[in-house]
Amino acid sequence: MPKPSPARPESCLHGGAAAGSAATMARDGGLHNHHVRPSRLSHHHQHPHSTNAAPVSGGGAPIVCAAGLGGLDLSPPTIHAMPAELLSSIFSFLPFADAANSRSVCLRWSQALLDHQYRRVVLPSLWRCKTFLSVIAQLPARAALVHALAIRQAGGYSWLFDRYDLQTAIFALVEQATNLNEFAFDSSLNGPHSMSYSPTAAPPFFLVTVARLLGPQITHLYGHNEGPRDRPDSPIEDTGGGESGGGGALHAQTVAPPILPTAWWAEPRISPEIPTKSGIAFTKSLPNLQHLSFLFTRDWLAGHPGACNMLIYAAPSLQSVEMDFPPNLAALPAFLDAVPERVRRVHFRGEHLWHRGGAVAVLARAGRTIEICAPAEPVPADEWEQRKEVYAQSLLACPRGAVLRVLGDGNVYHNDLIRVSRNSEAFESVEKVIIATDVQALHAQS
Amino acid sequence: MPVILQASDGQQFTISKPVAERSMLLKNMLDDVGENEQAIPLPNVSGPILAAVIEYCEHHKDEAMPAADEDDKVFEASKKKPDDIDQWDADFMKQGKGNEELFEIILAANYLDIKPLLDLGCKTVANMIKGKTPEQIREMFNIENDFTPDEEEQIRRENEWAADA
Repeated sequence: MPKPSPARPESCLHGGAAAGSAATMARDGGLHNHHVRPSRLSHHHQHPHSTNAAPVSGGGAPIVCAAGLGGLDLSPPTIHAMPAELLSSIFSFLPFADAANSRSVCLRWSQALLDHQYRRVVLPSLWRCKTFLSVIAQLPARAALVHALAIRQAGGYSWLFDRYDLQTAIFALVEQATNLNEFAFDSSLNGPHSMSYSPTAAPPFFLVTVARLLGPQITHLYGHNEGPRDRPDSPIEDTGGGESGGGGALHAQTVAPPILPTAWWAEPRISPEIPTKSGIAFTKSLPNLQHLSFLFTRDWLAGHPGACNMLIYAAPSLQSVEMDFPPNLAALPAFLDAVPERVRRVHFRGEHLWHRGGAVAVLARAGRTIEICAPAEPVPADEWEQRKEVYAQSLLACPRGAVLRVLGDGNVYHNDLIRVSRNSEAFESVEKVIIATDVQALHAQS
Repeated sequence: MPVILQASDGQQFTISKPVAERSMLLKNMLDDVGENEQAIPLPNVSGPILAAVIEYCEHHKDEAMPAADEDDKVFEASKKKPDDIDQWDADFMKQGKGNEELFEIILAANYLDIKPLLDLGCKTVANMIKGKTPEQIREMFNIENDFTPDEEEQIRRENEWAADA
């Protein structure tokens, strides 16, 4: 791609190669080495002059000037003729997007590498790191594989860029961050701090990096399909177990404001081996995890071996699990079996889990709370009767002593489920929980 | 003992030692040769630019010099943003200075090793670039677009990922 620039700045800088030694030294030394000690200049010192601060012209000019000027290029300087070092210095003060944008100005700028090498890196200057950028520069054709990592500090955002083999180096730099309070690996964050990336390689980087960075801080890990707007702390909504839209995602957060590290990734369509292995590594790096949610991830994670591994390898602190219905029913038993005994709360999103999978009976324990959702949408009467019957049959084998909470909007299905559950006498108590899926219904209830 | 500087066009300037020592190049040289009544030739710096540099150094002569420790300097510098420019400095860079003068000041600051002035110049140019399209930058600095259409398209594709930042 590169072609010779028609206006080589070096020709301007060094065109007067026959210049006097002082001039040559001054240019080369001055421009390329900040610490040139110009002792060679001293022998040219000529006449003393008055102590008057005003410029003095004319007489007594040092001989060196006459000699030196003969070889100097006196053409006016332009930014295009700036030495690469100074261009780099200018670029280093630009926000990243502008620095990237400046590559499109001309060939020389496109090739300018920022060669500031920082031994001590703080995030706002990270992108100026030569190692960082030189690797990026070697990947122009693979820019789609460059990923963005947003680090928000107290003072703002900076961007890191990575691919697999840079992960360790990046992490070493990130570790030096201070006041880290938010971490996002982003493909769809909106706003000025968003960046797009090819999702195919995101999770491995995310998993390892996030776990190493924030693992001990993460207490809640959520899944969702469509990004952070589906915050799990929003009112629970039962969609009746319909097919979900986009891909899966996980959202992790701590519960200790104002420090709120959030981390999530969104990429379901990767090789199944990656989330499995990464899922294990990730989960093992969350020593304080209390809540693990697979809601809204049914397209990939729910029922996936990776999900089972995340449950199996979850920290002893895990207390609460939220589950979704796996698209592959054959995967359900392993998924249910993977729920650790110590978990005190299990929430099912889809109704399938209680009427088809028998999950309530499998997971009910004395001292554990099970939450199920009643349908919000109309169900044909005969089908509803069939579901109730399957559910009632499954409860015959249900261990005693669990607390059952039935979530719904107070409709007939909600009431039916409560009645069937109470009739089974399998539970220590059966609670009716009204949820705000329908504001009007909620008002009517209240 | 005053210090005499001689610009490339023969103009001579007599300044105090503290002002001269804002330049690490001059400071080192003065340390080397001691007090000397001879003019120090600065063949890379024209009279008007040297006058401007001296004005800057005069204004900042009482300020602490940048830390000697490179790490600290880098650390401090890295925390700065391009718009962290002192009002006097901003006015100094604006006063009657076109692009040519600005670049000459940057070159002079680099040559004389006056780090704060070099940073000031670079920040000023960075601020001029910030938020502009490549075409606007070319126009502003009279830079020829020497990309072939294919190269330009490739660069555009390469930069796509940063476009939202």
